Amino acid sequence: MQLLALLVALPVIAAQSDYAESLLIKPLPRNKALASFLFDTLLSLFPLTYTNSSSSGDHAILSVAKHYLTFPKSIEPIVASTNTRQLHLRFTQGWWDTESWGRLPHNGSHTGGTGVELSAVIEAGSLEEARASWLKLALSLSGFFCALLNFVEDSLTTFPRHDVSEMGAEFVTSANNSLFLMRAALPEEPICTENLTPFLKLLPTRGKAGLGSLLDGHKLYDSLWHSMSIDLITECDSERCSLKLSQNIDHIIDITRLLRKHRLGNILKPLSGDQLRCDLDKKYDDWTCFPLTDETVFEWDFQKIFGRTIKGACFQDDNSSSLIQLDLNNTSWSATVEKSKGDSVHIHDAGLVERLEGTYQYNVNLRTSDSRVVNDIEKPPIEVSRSLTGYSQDKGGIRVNLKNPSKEESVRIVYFETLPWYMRAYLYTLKKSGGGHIEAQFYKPAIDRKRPGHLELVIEIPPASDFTFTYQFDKSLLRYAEYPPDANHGFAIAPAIVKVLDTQDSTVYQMRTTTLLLTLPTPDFSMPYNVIILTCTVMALAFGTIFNLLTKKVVTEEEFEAISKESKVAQIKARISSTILALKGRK
Amino acid sequence: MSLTRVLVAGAAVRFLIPTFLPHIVDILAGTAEVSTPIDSFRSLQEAFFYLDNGIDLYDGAMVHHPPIFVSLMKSAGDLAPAYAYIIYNALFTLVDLGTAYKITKLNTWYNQHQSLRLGRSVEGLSPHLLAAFYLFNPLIVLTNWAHSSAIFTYFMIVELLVQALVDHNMFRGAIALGVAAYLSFVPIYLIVPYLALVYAVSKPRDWRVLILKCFCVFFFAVTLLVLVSFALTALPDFVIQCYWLVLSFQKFAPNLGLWWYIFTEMFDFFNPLYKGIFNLYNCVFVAPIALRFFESAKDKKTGDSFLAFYLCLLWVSFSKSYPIVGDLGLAVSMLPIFSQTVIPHTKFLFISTLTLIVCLLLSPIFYYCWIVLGNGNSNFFYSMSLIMGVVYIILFLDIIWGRLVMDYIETNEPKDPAKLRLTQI
Repeated sequence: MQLLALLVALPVIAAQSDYAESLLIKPLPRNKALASFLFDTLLSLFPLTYTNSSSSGDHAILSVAKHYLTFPKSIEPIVASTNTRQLHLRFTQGWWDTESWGRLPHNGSHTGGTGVELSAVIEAGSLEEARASWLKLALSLSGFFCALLNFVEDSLTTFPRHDVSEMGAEFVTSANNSLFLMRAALPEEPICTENLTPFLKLLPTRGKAGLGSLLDGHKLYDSLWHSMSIDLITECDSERCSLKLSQNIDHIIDITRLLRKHRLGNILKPLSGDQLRCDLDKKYDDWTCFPLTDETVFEWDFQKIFGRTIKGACFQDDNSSSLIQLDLNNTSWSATVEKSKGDSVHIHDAGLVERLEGTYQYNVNLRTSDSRVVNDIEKPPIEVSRSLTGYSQDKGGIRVNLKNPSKEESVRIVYFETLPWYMRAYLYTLKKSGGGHIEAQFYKPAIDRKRPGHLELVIEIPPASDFTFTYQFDKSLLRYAEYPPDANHGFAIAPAIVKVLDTQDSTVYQMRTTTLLLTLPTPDFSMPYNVIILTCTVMALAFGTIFNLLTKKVVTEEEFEAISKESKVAQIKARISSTILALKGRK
Repeated sequence: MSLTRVLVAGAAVRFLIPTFLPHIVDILAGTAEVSTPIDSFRSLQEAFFYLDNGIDLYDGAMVHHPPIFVSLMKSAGDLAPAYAYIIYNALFTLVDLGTAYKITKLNTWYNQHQSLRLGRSVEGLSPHLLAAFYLFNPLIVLTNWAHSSAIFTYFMIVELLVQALVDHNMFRGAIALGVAAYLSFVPIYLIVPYLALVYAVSKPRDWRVLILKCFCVFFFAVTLLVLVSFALTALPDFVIQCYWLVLSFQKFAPNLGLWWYIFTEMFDFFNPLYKGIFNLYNCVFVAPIALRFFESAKDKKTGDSFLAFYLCLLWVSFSKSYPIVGDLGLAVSMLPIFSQTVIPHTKFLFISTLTLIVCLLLSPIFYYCWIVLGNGNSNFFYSMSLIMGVVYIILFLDIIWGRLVMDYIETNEPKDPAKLRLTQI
């Protein structure tokens, strides 16, 4: 019956609107540019199943015939076997410069904090079941994305409170089940090309054609800030469910640096005298040069910045799925598209949106007469800075400063923070200052080695004012084996998440603070044997002393000598010495 | 008259300084030597915060104070929330004054008791000196300023002795011991010397009835307190957070004890073994000491159950998992009670005092070098916790040997006790 339904639906699925990709290029001040890739894939027929962890669920999955089409076949079983209804995975590195880059792309909805961030909505009958599925999911994804997601464990996992209200309609297979939203962050995890490769493998083009062909690990990770995200969302209407995969890469390109690298190679060499850009208004001769700021008149193209050109549209017969958008300021920027196939080259001025077609090689060339003139940067609705206070390794504090830059509107935010268990926070020391007030507060204290601390605050900040809060914590001493290698480097504390709410309590903008580096007290790692020996010596000393005092009989020294003469040992001794004397006498 | 003066001066030190310098409480409550996770005032305040915000006290790893204690302290602070810190200063001052006053009573009782047993008049130190030894003992003053909940345990320990010895009500004493054990678990081991003490001072020496009754009262006191706590929290989690933590030592914090560093450095594989041994060690000498100094009815001159209780207290605070300097402070403050019995025969008091002073001076310095400056490492502070152990060992050696010498002199009545040279076999 199901198969029949599938067959009927097949022509509908086959339409290639199931896949779309786009690239946005936006020049930013100081010769930077934002490149934002978006790949959307849809599995339009995704029957919801519930895999019971106790039964042999894997067979059930395999027995249902599925048509994946453009959807990556590899990820669906992972999601199905863990009953995951939503999956959000973020790989981010670098520091977002709000002052010159403004808002985060997509209002921060695709951006994680430094490191790796995983959150999922999992259907389960009970909390234990949800935890088991969650750990299984993390383990599977760990292998899948070559990331250390296997470090996700109960002591890192939180159940965010506010986001639950945004989970939307509940797509559960049975009324006994409910949805669990879980989240974990690994702020220390480095991001590199081995995470990009599985990302590209998820694309139907495998990165061989379309916009995916622009992504080269060497260039992508050579950027000031980059963020890679994978979002899997189940969407259901009254009849059927579909699985939506959207993959996103945003990165900030330092054009000056990449151009210089392109020109000079990877080895930095000092510029020769005639290449120096000198301020001619100031003193200038063979020996003196006041350098100017970076060049403002230059041109660049995809070949130089991405190291590659685009290899045609994603599908040869589909001219609508691959788009390039250019967000340029027309007064000082112009762009041309170079379309080539073999020897034939066709160049035309680029429009706002360029569609890729066929098997042409595409290269986009951008020229600027003054790179300082760019389209307006939109201010983010909130500015946050979080820092550690205190100077010792046994206690410290956290100070969070939230600033509402808007002059007219007040802003309502949710501040979400996960504290590792070895930061023992004292919430009674929470002190507030500045405008604004805490509307609601939720706190779940940490349990050693089992659960992180979880703090959520709803804060309202009036226009153009600052809100600061601080609290203190104790740093715990860990077991010798719990310290990472290079323990004195410190522990990364996951970024806090700040979500801006509208009047309906839904998130309109979100951002992460920077990670913090926490130094804990460290024992001497070379000492285990010595400590065991020394402590046990003191214990034995105490034990022996008291044991002797309590058990032995008290006598005078004279009595002691008299008794010791009669003891068997003394008699044997006397006999031996007399024998020795006798032997000596015989000589 | 002069006792009043001492008490007033002691109260002034305890009340005025934290009232005018409120930061001293916070600083000391976060200091390794005078505060541990299980008795720190900071975690008590965090517990108040949880109560205010409807967070389960023991669903987390911050609060290790028993529920009844938290509730009572909270209601004390709620009398005048704006001046809560003054209320706590006053409360801790009062408790310490009570302890000091009761120690003077114990001193009087002990001297009378020894006079009766030895058949000659034993003149101890005067009450105001005894009170001064407690009230101006820097270890106790620091513990009090840190508002450590151990202050209440000390009071209950002294109180149980006063109940049993001065007021001759061993059941109330057993209840007080139950409260002490409820407050900080480790005094539970003192039930053994307590029963011996009860037996020694009871007039009709029917051990079965007395000791069984006493033990039952103690047992029911503890059970009742635990059940009331259970009713308050509705979950058994507090048992894990308050008592299992003391036994299992899951939370490491530097202190002057033996446990913290060895379990920080211990290989996982050996953890259960060593935890078992350390717990056994904590109570291993409780029964032997109580037996060795048992006051039997036949032999009037040897044995000293009060000293046995004192030694057990010293042993337990030496070997417990979360010790603070106040534990030694209480023992040192009670030592002058024995001024006419044990102290004349001690030899190393000078050495142990010097060792203790060096240890107390160096430990904060080494801690600072390790934690703040980073120019020393944990071994520096660890060495001081070993030295603290050595101080305890010298004290044990001195006190036990002093009592043995005294016993010898009392039973054998040598002609010239000053020239007596004793040894053991």
